[in-house]
Amino acid sequence: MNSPYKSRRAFIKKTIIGSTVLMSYPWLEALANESAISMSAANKVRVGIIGTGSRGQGLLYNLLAIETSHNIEIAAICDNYEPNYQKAIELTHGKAKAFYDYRELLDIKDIDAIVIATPLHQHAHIAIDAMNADKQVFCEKSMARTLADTKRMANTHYETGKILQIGHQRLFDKKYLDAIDYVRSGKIGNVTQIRAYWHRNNDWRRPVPEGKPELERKINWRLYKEYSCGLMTELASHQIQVANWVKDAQAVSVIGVGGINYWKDGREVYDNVALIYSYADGTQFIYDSMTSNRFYGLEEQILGDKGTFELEQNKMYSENPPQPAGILQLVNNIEKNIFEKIPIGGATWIPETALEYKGEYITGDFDVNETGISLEVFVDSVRRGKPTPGLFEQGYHASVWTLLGQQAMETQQKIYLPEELKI
Amino acid sequence: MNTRFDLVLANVEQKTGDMIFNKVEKELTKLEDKLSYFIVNSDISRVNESGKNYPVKVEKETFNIISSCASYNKLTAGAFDITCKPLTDLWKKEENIENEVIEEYVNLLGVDKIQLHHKNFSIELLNKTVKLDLGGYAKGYAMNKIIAILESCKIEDAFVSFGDSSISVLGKHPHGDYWPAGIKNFFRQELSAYVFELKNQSLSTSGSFQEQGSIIISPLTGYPVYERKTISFASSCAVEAEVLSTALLAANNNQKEIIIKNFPACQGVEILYNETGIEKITEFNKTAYEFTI
Repeated sequence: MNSPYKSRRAFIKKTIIGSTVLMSYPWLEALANESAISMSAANKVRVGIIGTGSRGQGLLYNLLAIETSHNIEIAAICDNYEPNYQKAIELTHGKAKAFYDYRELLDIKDIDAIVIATPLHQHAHIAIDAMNADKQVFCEKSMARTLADTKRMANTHYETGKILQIGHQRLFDKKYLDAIDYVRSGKIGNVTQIRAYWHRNNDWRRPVPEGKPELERKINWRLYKEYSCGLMTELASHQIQVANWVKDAQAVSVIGVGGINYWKDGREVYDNVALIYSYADGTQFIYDSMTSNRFYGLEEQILGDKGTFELEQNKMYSENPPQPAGILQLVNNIEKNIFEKIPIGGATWIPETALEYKGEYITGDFDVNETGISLEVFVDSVRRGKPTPGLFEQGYHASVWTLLGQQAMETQQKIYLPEELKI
Repeated sequence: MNTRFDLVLANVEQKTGDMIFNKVEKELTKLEDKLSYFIVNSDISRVNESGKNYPVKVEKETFNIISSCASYNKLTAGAFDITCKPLTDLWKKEENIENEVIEEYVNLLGVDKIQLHHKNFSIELLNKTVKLDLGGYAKGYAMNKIIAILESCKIEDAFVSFGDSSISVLGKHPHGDYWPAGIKNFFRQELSAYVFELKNQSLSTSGSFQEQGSIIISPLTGYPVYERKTISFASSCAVEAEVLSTALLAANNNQKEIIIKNFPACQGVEILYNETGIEKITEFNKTAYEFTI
C-alpha cells in the first residue's frame, strides 16, 4: 500500500540522495537516517493543540492523518473561543481532553508535545510555559509579536533543551529543497538579488458574529498592532525565511516604508509595505506586500548571473536557454573528439511562431503536503527527544528580520541586528 | 525570422567567436528589418500594405530578391511561390472551403500578379488579394550572407543552423572529413532517418505535419498537402536548397521530375510517413549518401 507516510518517506529519501549539498537541509538528513517507528503504546507521542482556529484545525487534520502511521494521539485541545473549542472537540470525536485555559492543558503530565496555533501575541508565553513544563513545542509562524518575546523563546529553547520548531512549511517543500540545492551547487550562478512579493485584494477581515462587536479584536487580531504586525508577520515572514535560506545567511540591515493607503477601516497594521534587506555580500532582497491588487499574486524570485528561480511557480529560467538536443550533442562531440552522425535537421514544425522560452520546472510533479511533512519531522524529533539540527534557527532568524523590518518602517531608520538578538 | 539561430565555430578563440557572432547578428537583424512579413516597416510589409496598383519603392537588395523569387517560380514550374500566404491564412481560418473560393484565390495569386519596375526598384501588386511572404527563401538568403561573413573572417570549419530546418556548413567536422547531418525521424526524433554528408553545403528541410500546427498549401492546387512527409535538399547554395525543399513539398511526382532536372547539382531526399513510422524514402539526384533507417 502506498500510504501517505511511505510516499513522504520516499520523497525525503529521494531529496537527500539527489542532493549535492546535504548541509542545505540537515533537518531532513536526520529524518532519513531514522529507524522504523515503534508502534508500542509506551512509545506513543501524545500531542496537545493550543489554538484551534482555522490554522489550528488545519494542523489538527494533518496530525489526524498520521495518527496511526506515526503512533501519535491527539490527547488534548485548547481554545478560549467557543466555536473553535467546539469544532476541535468534534474533529477529535470528543476523545481529546478539552480546555479553555492552556495552563490546564500544560498541567497534564503525560502530554509530550504541544502544537501552538494561537494569535501571534500569545505564541511566546504559551511556548515558554510549555517548554518549562517539559513539553516539546511546534509553534506556527511567525514566532512572536515582539523581538523581546522572540529572544525569550530562543533562550528558553536553548536553556531547557526542548524542541521549538517554527512552522515554516517551505522548508519541507520539494521545489524549495531542490532549488536550494541548485543554488548551492551554482546552477543559477552568483545570486545577487532576491525579489519577493505577496499581493492580495481583500480586506483581510474575518466575519464577526452579529451583535457581538466586542469580538472584533479577538477575531480580527491580524489587523491590530497589539497582536500582530499584519502583512509582515502573517505573510512576509515566510518569504524572509526563504531569502535567508537561499543566502544561507541572515540579512545585515533593512530599510522600509509602509502605510495604510487603501483599507482605512480602523485597522492599525499597514495595508502595504515595501522593504529592502541587504546581505553582507551586497545581495539585496527587495520585498513588497499589498492588499488592494492581486494581479501579481505571490512569488519569490531568485536572481543569479546564470539563471532565475520563481519558486512559487516551481520554475527556473536559464540566462542561456538550453540548446536543442542536436546542437548540444554536436558541440559536446566536438569538445570530446567524437565524430558521430547525429539527428540535427528537420522541418521547423511551426514555422512562424516566435520561439518563446518558458523555462523549466525546478522539480517534477511531486504533490506533497509540506505542512504534513513538517509535522512528521516534529513528531520524529519528539520521539528522539531532541531538536532537529538547524530548524529552529530558520524560524528564529525569519522572525527577527520580520520584526526588524517592521521597526525599520515604523522608525524610518535603517535597522541593523542588535547585539542582544544574536544567537 | 522567428526561429532559433545556432552558430558552431570550431577551433576559434572566444574573442574571435564573439566578434563574428556580433557581425552575424547585425546582418541578420538588418535583413529581418527589410524582409520580414511581420515587421511593420519592412520592405515586404510596405509592399503588402500599399502596393496594390501602386509601385512601392524598395531597396535594391529587396528588389533583387523578389526578382530572384520570380525566376525560381519559373524554374520550379510554379511550385515555389512567394505569393501564396493568403491561401495559407485562409486554410488556417477555415476547414471546409468551397472549390470555387479556392479556384478564385489560385487565380488571384502567383508571381505574375507582381509587377517589378526595374527602373526605380519598385514593386506593385496587381490585385488586393496577392501578398508577398518570402518564408524559407529569406532564411536561405540570410544563410548565404552568413557563410560569406564567415569566409571573410577566414573561418574554415563551421556549422550554422536556423531552427534545424536550414543548415549550412563550412569545411568539415573537426574530427571527420565532412559534417554529418542526420534528418530526424519524425516519430523518433533521437534517430536519424537519413544522413547527409555535408561539405561547404547547405541543407534545407521542409515538412507537412498538420498535427504540429503547420499547414503547407500547394500553390499549384490551392489545397493543403495532406501527406505527412519531409523533403530535404542539399546544395552549394542555401537559397536553392530552400527553394527546392519548399517546392517539392507541394509538387506531384511528375512535377517533381521536371523541377529536379533544373537543379542537377542538388541532392535530396523525401521521407514519407504513415501513421506509425517511415513508409518510404525516395532520393533525388543521389550521389553518395549513406542510408540509415
